[in-house]
Amino acid sequence: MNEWSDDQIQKALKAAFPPAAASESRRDLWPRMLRRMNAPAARVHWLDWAVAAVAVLLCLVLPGAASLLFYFL
Amino acid sequence: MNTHPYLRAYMAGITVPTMIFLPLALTGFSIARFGAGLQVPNERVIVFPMAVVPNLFGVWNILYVAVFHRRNVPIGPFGAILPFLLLPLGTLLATALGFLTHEARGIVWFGAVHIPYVAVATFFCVAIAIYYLVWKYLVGGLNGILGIA
Repeated sequence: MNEWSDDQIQKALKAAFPPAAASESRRDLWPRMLRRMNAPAARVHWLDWAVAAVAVLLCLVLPGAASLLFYFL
Repeated sequence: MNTHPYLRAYMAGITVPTMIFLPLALTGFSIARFGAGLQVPNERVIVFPMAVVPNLFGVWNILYVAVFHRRNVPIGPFGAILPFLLLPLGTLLATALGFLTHEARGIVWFGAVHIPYVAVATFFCVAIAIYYLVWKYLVGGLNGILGIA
């Protein structure tokens, strides 16, 4: 059986595997990360507040029927 | 690399009903049973909010991420469609389990609470509004955090 030296194995492996591609990203990701971290929190539209207020009001006016919401939500 | 977007969509979908709606429903029905003295069969009532609603939320969110997000459909109105599916399903289950009966003028809840059909229709609209808000801000927010939509 043919015995291989460490150098031969190293050369064979290098020949078998292509060199790894550049591991670093081509563009700087940090500014994008900063933009995301500093982005303002999502604002709730006034119409959505109105819809929520009407829903709460109806639950207070008709508490019996509000039990339906407990079941279906 | 497989980032399992549908698994994340399912998890984002079930979070809101499991962590917010289910405790609310359980608290409400427990107060009705032990506080107000209504004969609420909690073990049967809780089946729908515990087993059906969260899973449907998860599946609905998978459907959104898989199909509708790519077509730029807003998540709020998409979530507001869900009560149209939940209402017949829940009514069917509640009738089958015997704590919801139908009369000419309305429904009877636990054999004691009479709710006219006008109130049912009103609360269906409220449910649509709540689902719209929940899907727009809570499920949509979770989807954003998980990077799937």
